[in-house]
Amino acid sequence: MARITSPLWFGLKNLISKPAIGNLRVKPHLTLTQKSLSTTCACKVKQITVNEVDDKIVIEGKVVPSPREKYLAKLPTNPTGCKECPLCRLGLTVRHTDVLIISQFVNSKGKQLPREVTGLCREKHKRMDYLIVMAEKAGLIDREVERKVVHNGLTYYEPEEWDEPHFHKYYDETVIDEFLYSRRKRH
Amino acid sequence: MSASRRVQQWLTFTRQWWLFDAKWQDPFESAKVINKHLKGAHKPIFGGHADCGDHVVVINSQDIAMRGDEWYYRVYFHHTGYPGGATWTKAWELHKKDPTMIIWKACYRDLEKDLTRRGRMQRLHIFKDSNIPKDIIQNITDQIPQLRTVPKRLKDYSQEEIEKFPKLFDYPKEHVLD
Repeated sequence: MARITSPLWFGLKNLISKPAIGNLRVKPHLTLTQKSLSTTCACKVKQITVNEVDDKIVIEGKVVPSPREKYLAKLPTNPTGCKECPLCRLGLTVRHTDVLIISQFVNSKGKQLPREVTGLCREKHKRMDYLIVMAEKAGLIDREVERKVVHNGLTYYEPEEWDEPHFHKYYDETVIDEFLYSRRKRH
Repeated sequence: MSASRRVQQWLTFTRQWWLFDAKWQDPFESAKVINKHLKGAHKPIFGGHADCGDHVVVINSQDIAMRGDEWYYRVYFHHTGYPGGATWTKAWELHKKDPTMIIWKACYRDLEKDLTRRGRMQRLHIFKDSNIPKDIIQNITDQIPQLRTVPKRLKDYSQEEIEKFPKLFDYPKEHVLD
């Protein structure tokens, strides 16, 4: 299937006949004009720094050696079951209190890293998503989550952030299986 | 009879004093363990006619933990007796007023509803901090183990500990740190 560049192009294709399209001036494809040709990786960048020096903004991309290289865990060579995901290979059952493991799957803002970076299988990725939320709600890790929502000139908050003080909470991980594999009856 | 067995026999017939640290503990799970010691059900002479209950000292009751959003949907009911005298207080409101109340009510509810209940509740001493008066702390001989481990926040770890913890995956080459 051809790539749809814009909704306008998609509409024209179906409505107007082929010779009529030729008369219109439509944007050319973005493939040759905007994408730069390069033999090396175009975005091989580790850290982007932004500096403001009087009336100038300097944006710089630095190639930084990754801090994790020395401390990588040894994964078993002949695993059983799932062969890609590091959690399946080690046979780990992660709890929401294992903060040092959970914080590896999270960027500096507290959002979960994508599956191409972490290498988790689909099931464990979803499971880790729940664990991050549990650890955040229990107050074990910090995240930059917007709890305030502005909609039609009104502000909405999450119910926990109204007036109640933050007491200690804990969670049960067996609930995650319920979320993943069975339909939950809500009343 | 050996010396250790003799001491065991002395302990069954005395009132022992137990310490329980309620930090990050569920009050309703820990009430079952506390009540076991209040009744003396861990002793071999326990029975209907044996008055062999122990004392339990609970500390740090202001740091108890509840599961999920239970702080907001658990409700305590009270009625003054007059018309319109019913009140419903949520658990977080009760805990704000008196941080020893939730554990007391959980133990009181879990005990058997007979004439022994008030006497057993007199042997339960709850403190919101770890500051215990001297005449109580000198009696304590042993402690009840905690039911769940106290979790540690990411802030409490040092930067070295976080860096040197074994990592499960490395960043790919084209990854942009943010």
